Amino acid sequence: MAVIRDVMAAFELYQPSSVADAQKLLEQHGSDAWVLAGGLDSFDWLKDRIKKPKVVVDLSGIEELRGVRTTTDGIEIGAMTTLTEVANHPIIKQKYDLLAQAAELVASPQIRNQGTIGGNVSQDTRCWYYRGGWPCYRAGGNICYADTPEGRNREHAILHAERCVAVNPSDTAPALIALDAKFVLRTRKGERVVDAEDYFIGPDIDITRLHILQPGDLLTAIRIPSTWAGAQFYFEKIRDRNVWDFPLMNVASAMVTSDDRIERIRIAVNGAAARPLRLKAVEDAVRGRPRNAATGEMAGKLAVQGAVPLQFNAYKIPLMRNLVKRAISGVQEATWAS
Amino acid sequence: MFVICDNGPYDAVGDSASSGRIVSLLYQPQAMRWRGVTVLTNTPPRSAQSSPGGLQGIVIIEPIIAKAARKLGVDQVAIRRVNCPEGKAPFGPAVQGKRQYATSAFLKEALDRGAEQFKWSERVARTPKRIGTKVRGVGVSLSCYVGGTIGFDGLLVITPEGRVIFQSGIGNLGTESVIDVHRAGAEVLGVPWEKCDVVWGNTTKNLPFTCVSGGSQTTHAMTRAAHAAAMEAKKKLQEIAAKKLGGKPEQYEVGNERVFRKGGASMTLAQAAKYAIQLGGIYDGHEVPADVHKLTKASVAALAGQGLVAAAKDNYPRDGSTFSYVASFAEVEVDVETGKYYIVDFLASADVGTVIHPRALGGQVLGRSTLGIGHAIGQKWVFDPHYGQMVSKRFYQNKPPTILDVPVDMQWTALDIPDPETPVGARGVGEPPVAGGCASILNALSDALGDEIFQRAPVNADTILTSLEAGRPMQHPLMAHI
Repeated sequence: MAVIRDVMAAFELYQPSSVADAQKLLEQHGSDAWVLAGGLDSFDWLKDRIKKPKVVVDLSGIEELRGVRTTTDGIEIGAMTTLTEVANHPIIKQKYDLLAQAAELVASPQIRNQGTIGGNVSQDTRCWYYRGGWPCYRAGGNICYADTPEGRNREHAILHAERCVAVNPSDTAPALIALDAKFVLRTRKGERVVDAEDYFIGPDIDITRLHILQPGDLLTAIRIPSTWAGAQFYFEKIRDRNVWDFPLMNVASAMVTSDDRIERIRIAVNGAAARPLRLKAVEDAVRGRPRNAATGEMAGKLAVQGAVPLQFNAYKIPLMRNLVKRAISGVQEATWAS
Repeated sequence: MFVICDNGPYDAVGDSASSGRIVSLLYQPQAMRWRGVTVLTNTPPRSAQSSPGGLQGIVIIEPIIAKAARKLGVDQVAIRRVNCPEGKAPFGPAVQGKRQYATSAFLKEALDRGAEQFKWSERVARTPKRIGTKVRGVGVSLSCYVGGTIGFDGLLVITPEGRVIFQSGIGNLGTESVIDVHRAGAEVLGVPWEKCDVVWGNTTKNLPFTCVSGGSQTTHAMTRAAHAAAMEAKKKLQEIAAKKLGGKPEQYEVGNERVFRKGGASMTLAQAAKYAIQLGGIYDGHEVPADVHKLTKASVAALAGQGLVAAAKDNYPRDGSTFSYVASFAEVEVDVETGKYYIVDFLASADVGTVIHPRALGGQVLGRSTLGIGHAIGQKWVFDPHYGQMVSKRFYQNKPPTILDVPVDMQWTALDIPDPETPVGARGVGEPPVAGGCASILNALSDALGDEIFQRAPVNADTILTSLEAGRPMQHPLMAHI
């Protein structure tokens, strides 16, 4: 009969009430420590007994990591702010609605109530071989089970695969990249601020992580500058189910036009590679062009250049092409009289 | 029909035989060849899911009928109306020259009712079909599965306080049948439902031999048993009244919580229960009918002396096999640039005999339709074929449908035409809607996209987009779950 696996291995639980204490604990325990935010990523790993950390540092008691603050140039979102708070926050909805839209499309209402923005951008990949405990490259082994002749890879990467073909599952990450957000980290050497797109890494840099955090590091906040406040935004997420699903792919764009010409634009997709991709070539190609279907189509084709499909994910190439197109030239509303 | 059942590592299940039987009933082919093969594979173990065989058979045939109708220029409802079963419809192979047949089928009426309520003709005629990147399509499907068994026991006690206590052995799945079927007994006795109690839960509560809560049989099987027990109680009430008040038992009627002779003497059920205890023997459970099951006998023995105890086996005749039927209608909206589609509307029109509890029935019809919709829109079970290992272990990976995947105002309707082969007229409803939920969605998608985009289920954004891109089906029909 089935083996009951939903029992976590024992660990020491620490619940610090300040960032300083959390950092001290993380430094003390190094790679033995596991950072717990909302728990949506962590508990699958722990209950499946695939990750067995000796120490868990629970950030839920640290008030200073919560909430949205206005700054001299934009806003700062504490890493432990829930996705529900992000999706409903009046300033985010008014000025940075791209992020509110993305946050609202994450998983389900219950998960958004518990899940945090910091967790959403720092979560691990959902490759089902890796999550199932298969000893793959990402898990320290020497094979990718998804990239085999019979591997089940419908949800895997079409771009920048390097031994591992897993993708980043975050919905808020591309929105934050499009908004030119900065991620604030606490490291052993002090505070470090990085551009959103530099927070994420592919297997060519480190095959075991999706982001730059090292043991002992903590993501404390995300800053959004006012550069793109009130710009024209487009976010679309394609998923199998209408709720409680990771993206097959998503796209986020922020655009400023004048006389219907694209003056400034930032655009990113996720679900295509191990990191959310900022499409710089597309941004350069469409800048100065009219915002119309021809520009959208040109951008879509450019975006998928170099894409390599696996056995079951070739659909991601037209999907990415069309999503990029729509993120630039929009999509026609269809209303039928019932 | 050639069915290969990939059964995992253990013994064969009955899905392949069931698929042939159900298809032969639902489409009434004049000639049909069926073959079934079960193969054992080095993959995770599995067992039957709701509407085993019926689901697969109907979901294979429905798109073929839909395609045929399109090629012939015949309306989808009309072609199904021509081919669907009616009355004592035959099914399955002839054994010694004789074929089995259904107790009844009013599926044509269900199709007509559904087409009218769904405004089928208006939806088919609506133009344009495409606006921008969105295309709409409508689909209809027939559906049926087994709907009832016979031969179980009913048991009730009329107490000296005048209450009627139904002993219910039904396992409560949340469908309310554990309670509802006994309304048939209350009706026979003419006792208001407020004066009835239902005892249920486990066998320490002295429950009768009852069908298992599965196979869509409970409403049929246990309304019959409840009816039989109530008829037995009624007979005893008449005998007690005749003994105490004179006359012949058949001169007495039961109603308004009394046993009475027209224009003459009467007694309350409470008084009759006291007399039953005084009389003992067959009246208060100290003796028990010989034909009831041993489990029922034990329960009767435990209840003996508490009032008028009536136990009876369902010995009612039945000519034919019991099935329930559903006509399912769906409209979808597909975005051809992303492959993403939404189910815009859904209606299930049910032929399930007499309606016992409308809200519970509606819950069953739409709930099981949703289970079928899950098979259309992506519920899946993925294993790596090289290693034979499951990879879709968690709900976010095997994707059962959510409430937001079905339309907000899904509709249902039921004919409420009694089945002539059971005293209460009610048939079971659990599994019959499942295949229609799945196939109506698949047919609506084909109506929107054409017949050459997919030949499989589930159909997801990737199925649609990769095939639209290539102009032909790109996912192998037998590689259902990827």
